[in-house]
Amino acid sequence: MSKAPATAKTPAPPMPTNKDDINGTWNFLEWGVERIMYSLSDGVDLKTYMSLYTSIHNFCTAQKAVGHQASANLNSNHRGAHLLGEDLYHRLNDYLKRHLAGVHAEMVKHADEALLTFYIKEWKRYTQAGMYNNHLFRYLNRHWVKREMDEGKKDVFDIYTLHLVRWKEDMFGSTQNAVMDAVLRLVEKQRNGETIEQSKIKDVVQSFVSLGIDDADSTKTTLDVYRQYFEKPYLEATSAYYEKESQQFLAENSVVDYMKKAERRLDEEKERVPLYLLPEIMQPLMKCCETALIAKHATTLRDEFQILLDNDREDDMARMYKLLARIPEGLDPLRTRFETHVRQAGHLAIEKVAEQGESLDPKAYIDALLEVHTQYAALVQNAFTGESEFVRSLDNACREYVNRNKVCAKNSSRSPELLAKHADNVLKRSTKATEEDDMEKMLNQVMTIFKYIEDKDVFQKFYSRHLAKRLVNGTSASGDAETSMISKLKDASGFEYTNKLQRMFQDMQTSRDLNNDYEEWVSQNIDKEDRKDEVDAYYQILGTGFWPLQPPSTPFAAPNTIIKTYERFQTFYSNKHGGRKLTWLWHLCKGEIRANYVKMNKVPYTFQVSTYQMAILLLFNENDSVAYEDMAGMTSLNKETLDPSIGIMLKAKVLTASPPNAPTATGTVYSLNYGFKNKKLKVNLNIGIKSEQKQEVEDTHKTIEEDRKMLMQSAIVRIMKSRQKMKHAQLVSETIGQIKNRFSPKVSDIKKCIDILLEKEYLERLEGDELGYLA
Amino acid sequence: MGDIVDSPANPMASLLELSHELLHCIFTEIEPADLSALTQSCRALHSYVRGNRLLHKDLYIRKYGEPTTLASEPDWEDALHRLVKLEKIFDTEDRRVKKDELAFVSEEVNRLVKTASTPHNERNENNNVDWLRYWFQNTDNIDSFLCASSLFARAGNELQLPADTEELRQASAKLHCLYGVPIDVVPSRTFFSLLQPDPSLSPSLCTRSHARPLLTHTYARSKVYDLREYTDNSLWGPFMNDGSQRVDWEKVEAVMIVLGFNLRKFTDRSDGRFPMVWKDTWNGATPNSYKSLPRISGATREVDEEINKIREMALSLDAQDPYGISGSWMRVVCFLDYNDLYAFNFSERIPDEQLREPIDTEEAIRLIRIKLQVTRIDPPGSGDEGEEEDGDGMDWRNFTGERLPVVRFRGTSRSLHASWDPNANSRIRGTVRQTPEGEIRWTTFSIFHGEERWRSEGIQVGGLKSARGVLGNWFDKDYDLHGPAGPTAFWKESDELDEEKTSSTPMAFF
Amino acid sequence: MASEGEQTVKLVSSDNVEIVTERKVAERSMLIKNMIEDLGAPGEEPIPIMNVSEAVLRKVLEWCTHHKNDPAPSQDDDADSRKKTTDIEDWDQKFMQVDQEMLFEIILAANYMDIKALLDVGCKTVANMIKGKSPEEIRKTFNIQNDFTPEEEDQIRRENEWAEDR
Repeated sequence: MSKAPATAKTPAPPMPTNKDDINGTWNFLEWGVERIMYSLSDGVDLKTYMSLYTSIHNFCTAQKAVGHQASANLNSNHRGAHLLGEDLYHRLNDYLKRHLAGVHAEMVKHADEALLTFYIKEWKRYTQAGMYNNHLFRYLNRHWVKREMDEGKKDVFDIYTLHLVRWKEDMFGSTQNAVMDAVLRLVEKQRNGETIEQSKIKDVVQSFVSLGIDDADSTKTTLDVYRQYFEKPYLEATSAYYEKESQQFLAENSVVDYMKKAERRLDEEKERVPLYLLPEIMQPLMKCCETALIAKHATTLRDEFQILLDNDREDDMARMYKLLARIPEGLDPLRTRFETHVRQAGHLAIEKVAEQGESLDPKAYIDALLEVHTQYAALVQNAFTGESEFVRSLDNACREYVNRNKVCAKNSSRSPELLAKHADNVLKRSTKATEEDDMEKMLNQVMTIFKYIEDKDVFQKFYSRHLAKRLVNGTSASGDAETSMISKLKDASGFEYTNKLQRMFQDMQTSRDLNNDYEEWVSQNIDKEDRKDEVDAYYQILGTGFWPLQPPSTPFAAPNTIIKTYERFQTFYSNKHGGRKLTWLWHLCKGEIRANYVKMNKVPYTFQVSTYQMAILLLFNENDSVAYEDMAGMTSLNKETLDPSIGIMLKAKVLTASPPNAPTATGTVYSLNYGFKNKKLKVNLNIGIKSEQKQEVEDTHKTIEEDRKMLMQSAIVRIMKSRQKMKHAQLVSETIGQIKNRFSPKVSDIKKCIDILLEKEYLERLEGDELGYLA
Repeated sequence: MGDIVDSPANPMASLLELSHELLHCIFTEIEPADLSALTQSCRALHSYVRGNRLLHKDLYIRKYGEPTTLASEPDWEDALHRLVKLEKIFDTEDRRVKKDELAFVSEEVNRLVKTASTPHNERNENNNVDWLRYWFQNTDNIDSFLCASSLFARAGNELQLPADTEELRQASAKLHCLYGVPIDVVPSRTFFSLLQPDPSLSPSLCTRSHARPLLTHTYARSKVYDLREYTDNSLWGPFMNDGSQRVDWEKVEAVMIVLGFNLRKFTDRSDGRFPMVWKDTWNGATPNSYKSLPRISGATREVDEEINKIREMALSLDAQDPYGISGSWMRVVCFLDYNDLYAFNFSERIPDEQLREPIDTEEAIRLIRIKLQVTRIDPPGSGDEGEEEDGDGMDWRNFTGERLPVVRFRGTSRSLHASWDPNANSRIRGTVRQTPEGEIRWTTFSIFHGEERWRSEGIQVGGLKSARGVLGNWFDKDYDLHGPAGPTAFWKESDELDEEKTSSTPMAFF
Repeated sequence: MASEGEQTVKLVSSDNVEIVTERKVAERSMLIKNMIEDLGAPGEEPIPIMNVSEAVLRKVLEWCTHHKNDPAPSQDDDADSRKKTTDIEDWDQKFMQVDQEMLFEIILAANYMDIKALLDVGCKTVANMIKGKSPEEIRKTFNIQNDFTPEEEDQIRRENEWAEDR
């Protein structure tokens, strides 16, 4: 303890007896306060404590209601209440000023850590005494001080706060710079790896915080003083330290090593906060470190990114991501580079498969698309924490290479077409059964690519055609897989998108029920005798409008046996659903014929045939040879259908032509080949025709064009109906907005559609660039 | 003096021997009215009490709460005396005294409401408001002070009579609006089935239906749908017909009665699914009385970063908006069937000053949830968008207090009745500003498919950020003289724009 | 060592009578509580309560004993006193049924010893003696002499028109 003034050891003056004697009271109090300031460790005895308190109480309560009312005049200005205590307060204030002047004189003799030690020691002694005095002067606090404060006096404080205010004004202003310098030197030592006495810094922080007395309400504290005199220099020193260090380190080490170092430094600073700083500093401190350690070197870091990408350095990319994510806009350039990189990788992969040209295998193509996506989706997850902006960059890149690549160069709808074909291959029954899990995985892969497809309407068209075939021909691998796929499409593109696909499924179920009903009906209503010459048949009733199917392209006179069979069914059906018309899609029908005339090991061969082939073959029940012109006449089939049908049977050697190798034309005669031989008992003659398939693809494309025109026109009409009037350019952009989730329309196409609607007088041209709606 | 105190050295403890701080402790526990007897007892106490600013201040705050929004510190002694006088007027059984003091009562109640402290706890307790609520359970007070507008020349019972001057009639209408529960009987299923007195209703509410054959709302309705009231000078809203933008409280009163009637009927028919509004007297009639509903779930949805940025920008605008616009509001709109409206207004010619007959035709009611977002803040006194640039052309010379900016907002509105109907959803834009009287004026435009169709003008009852909300009129935005037009009101439900998190009422149950 | 609850302290009244009481009871007084906080438990050393006589001190301690388990008074609970109710609980009402001199002595002692709740009860008791009374009744209750001249009485009556019943 610094030397105590002599008064502390002087004997106590007498306790004042006259209550309103200010000088007597203060003499006594000053003696007591002095003891508390300097000799607290010696202890203050009970009697002294109580005497001090009591003398303050007695002084303050000397005022009586009756004591003051001598004035005879009711209207005198001497009215209202009056509280005593002001004198005591000011004398204490003066005392504290004098006291601190002495402390200050001592303090300037110290420097650096010694100064710090002195400051903290004196601060603790002084504030502890302040708390004692606050109790002793409590009566003053409770009444006079409280009233002054209630009255809005800004320069009156409770006694403890008065101590702080004095310290702030008489000590702090002239010493805080030196104190702070000492603090910062300590921190620098610690950053350099030395051990320091952390509690000293903690004490300084606590002192600075205590001095932040709220100007508006002195019973509260703010962090203003701390912010200005501690936090601000602290942050400045931190910035300077790390700017210098990082520059030096980068000059001598690799970027990857620097990232590790920066990571470590950031962790250290974070851990330092709870040790001796206020939690409030965390945010600005981190910001300051991030600026010095990351933002200042952001360009250097980013330049390294391409190298890391090229070398698949996932861990280092993760590190870079974490660092750059901490600064504002730190990641944008990375995302741009990442997007470009993925796009290039995509194009590269596709160029490899594009060499297959026209005969490009859908699976190879889809696999190429998927491979790039899978690789970089994993990178986004692992290195970039799956952050949504990186996901967006990945999506942008994928959308780009999926829709615009070498394979699509000539025909922009190749991608959806190939994807649909691939889906068909997956879902079609094949020689080896697919495990359920594998199937689900493959369907998910289809969906991954589907998400990026822009011309979703093209996919829909092809997919529904393939689905129709699978359903009609019963070639689906699994009903569950089909429904699963449809529900995925529904999730991705909405109910509207899959509506027709679902209806197709419903039709299949309805048909099954119908066939059961029919069987029952037949057994109840038709004589056994009548049923004998019946052909076993299964019927599929497909709703027009839901199925992407064309009516037969050829006239056809069905054989009698079949007519008899289906007429009976028609009777049943129109009983059940009066008014519905059935159109037979002969080109999709098929059947089996047993050839009793040729056998293998006494078992006759069975031919799987189209209805057309069936009609041709049945002709041979009457004659062993039939001339071409008779065939055409009896079946009514046109040449385009008849010729290939015959062709397959010739090729399979079921029929023979005479003269041999004669063209399928009038004059040629066909005979049954009794010497037919085949390895299998069941022989499939119902083989699709190549040219037909190609034709179908073209037709599909054509219908897509038509559908698109309809879609655009109806969107335009819908918009104009609600707006009545609109600028041309605005209409175009709104139309694009409405249909872009189906396909990306060309502006020129929309303009054409507007012209068509103008012609049809749905719309009219108004002044300026405006269009109007005609109801 | 010598008789009381034995000797100065060993004084006997007595009232007059206490120090001033102890007298203060004692006297802040008495009733304000007791101060009068104290000052009349002896010189010492007279001199202690008179001019004792802090004593009067503490007593005032203890009883009526800490007044807010005061420009300067009031004369506490005078303020306290006036409130004692007010209480005596409320307490008397002499209706003539009450009638004579309407002006004083209006002035004091307005001041109380205006300076009421914001509720300091969750239970929304507020000394002023509780105190007013207590005195306005008294039928005499309701009849004398709340039922003295012109409306009650025809409506109401024989004890409810219009005041003598227009100023007083306006004052009474305003008190009625601040009171906030229409003095009217709403026929409801529950009401008709059990006609026994409901303790939550004031006695006058229960007996009213027996007193007069036609109910107050029928007269209010005839005012609200009288298209002659919609004039350019009144901005087609609840203002005086002189271009001054002074509020015509009789119009606001009529709007409140009509909407209150319809809302009550609606609540009743919704079987409690739509909570009753305007049921607590004086509730939300004070500035800053609106408090946002607490967020229901803390779960934060992952939000687009871009949306966050926009929201942040908007938040900085919100911070400058003194009116508390951004957030979710509930709006009610009522309208007469157009044929009824036309017949009511144009089937016969009557003299300008003659009132139209009361009507009890059923109106339609629409509840709409609107979500508003501040878009722009202009300096105080700015004119409308696209109008004269030198300001609003109003006379601000008598204005006292803080001039607030003109704030513009935009938002969406969604009908609760037919959310599947695309026409139920529209956009809204508007402006909030002060009138030269210091009232808060709201103008809105409803936009359907990019086209502005309806406009509304309203006044926020209870002032800045009141919980009660805005009452006024809607009409054709091109001021079509043949209507349609009608009453509307909206009040804030939440500061949040995400309905999932805050909405306490079901979105659609119709 | 005895726990705080069982500790006793020795108080000495102004007329030099020692009264031993539980520390917990004595600490209802913020003065004593703060003192113990600052100086530590006094043990056998008597605490001089310089301004309070034995009779009054015993009465005050009776109140403190009854209320010893109330929530501890805090340093600044008077900030909220404005919101407090005017009700006095039954026990306190009975406790305050003493002659007027003792009532004021209790108030003075509570003020000196810094026992906020007791001071409140005392002030409320006096306030209740004032409420609703005419000037003459107040004079009678508190033994106050009317020292106004008739002219002054007139003047003051006029000053107080605001409080007249209507």
